[in-house]
Amino acid sequence: MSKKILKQKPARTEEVEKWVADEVSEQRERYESIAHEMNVEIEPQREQWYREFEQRIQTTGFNWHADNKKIIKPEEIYPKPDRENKVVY
Amino acid sequence: MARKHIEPFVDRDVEFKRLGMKGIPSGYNYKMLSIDEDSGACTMTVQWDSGYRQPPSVSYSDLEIFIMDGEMKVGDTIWRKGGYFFVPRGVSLPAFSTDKGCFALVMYNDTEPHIVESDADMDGADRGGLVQLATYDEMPWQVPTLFPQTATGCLLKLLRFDEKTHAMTFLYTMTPGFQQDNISYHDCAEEAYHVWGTSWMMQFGDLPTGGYFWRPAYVNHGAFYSEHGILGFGRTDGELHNHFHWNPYSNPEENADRAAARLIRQKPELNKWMFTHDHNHIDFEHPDEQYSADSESDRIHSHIHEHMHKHGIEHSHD
Repeated sequence: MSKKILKQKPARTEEVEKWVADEVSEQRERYESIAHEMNVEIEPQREQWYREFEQRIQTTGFNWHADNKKIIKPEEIYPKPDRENKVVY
Repeated sequence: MARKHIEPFVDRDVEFKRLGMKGIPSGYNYKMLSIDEDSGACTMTVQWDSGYRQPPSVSYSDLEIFIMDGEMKVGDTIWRKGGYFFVPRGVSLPAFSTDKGCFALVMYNDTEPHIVESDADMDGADRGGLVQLATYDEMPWQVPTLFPQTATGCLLKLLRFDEKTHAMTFLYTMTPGFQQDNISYHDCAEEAYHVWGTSWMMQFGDLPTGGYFWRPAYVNHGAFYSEHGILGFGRTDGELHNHFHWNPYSNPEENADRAAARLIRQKPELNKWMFTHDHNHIDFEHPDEQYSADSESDRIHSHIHEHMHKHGIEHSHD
């Protein structure tokens, strides 16, 4: 029923259209800044975190459920693919 | 929810702005955390100034409010830290006011923010869906019953659960020293805000008090650690299943493929039913709503698919 209410919403006024456009524009700028920081700037630090994680799951183990862990074998570690690593999409 | 992948963002890094649109009383200040570029649906941290007064009102959008500091008088009741409201579209919210000021998360789920003065519900409004909770006082912490489960020390308070979509709104906490050595992703978008405390994720580093993310489906996050613990507010737009793994380099398309392969393995009969029947799936509980493979795909996957196009990620349409 309540989707009918959403469909009754009046068209945006010019004032509201401008507000939404301004907020969207600001968000796009913020996104670009975040993506650069996360995908580029901290990548060397993250690679170190990945190595430490791989070390832990081969020694203290990988949490496969709650506190249940299993030790990952060296041959089960995923190799780094030949492509740019991204964490923000 | 077609929103950008905003992760991480810390609202303490930006100033409040006045929400000055027609119909919004003065004293309504906001920081935009994320916004849907099409619908204007958004999540904001809001500071209502002391003396703020808002008349009885309705909205064309579902609305959620979570009070983090100060107090707000709604009708005759004073709500303080931990007060949570889910106000369905068209349900009238009584007049509210604050003498001391009020700091809250505010989420318009369907449209840009707006207030329509009215002390009566709109026709067809779902008043039974109204949720009002004093979450800090009335609710115990629960151990999540998801399978696979998060590690000991991650606890939940479920504030709202959509029976149709399994979308959730919840409080969560990590106790001091919480650690979980796996990488997770979900079939749904996930959003969270740190009310207090700092936690670390292997992809994004530290997320402190005031930290926020809106993360599309199938994006890797974790391992996890919190030295002193955190209190967070979270939401999903669908069922939250923990797909755990240890490949730090997998991308959203690979993760979605893995999730699909798991579905075929774990629910083969359902998979056959969905893909060998070229018809809409009628739900006998909700016969007026038709669920086809397309509509489900739209609901769950459109946001990540759109992101793949926007960012030039190669993927299949088969």
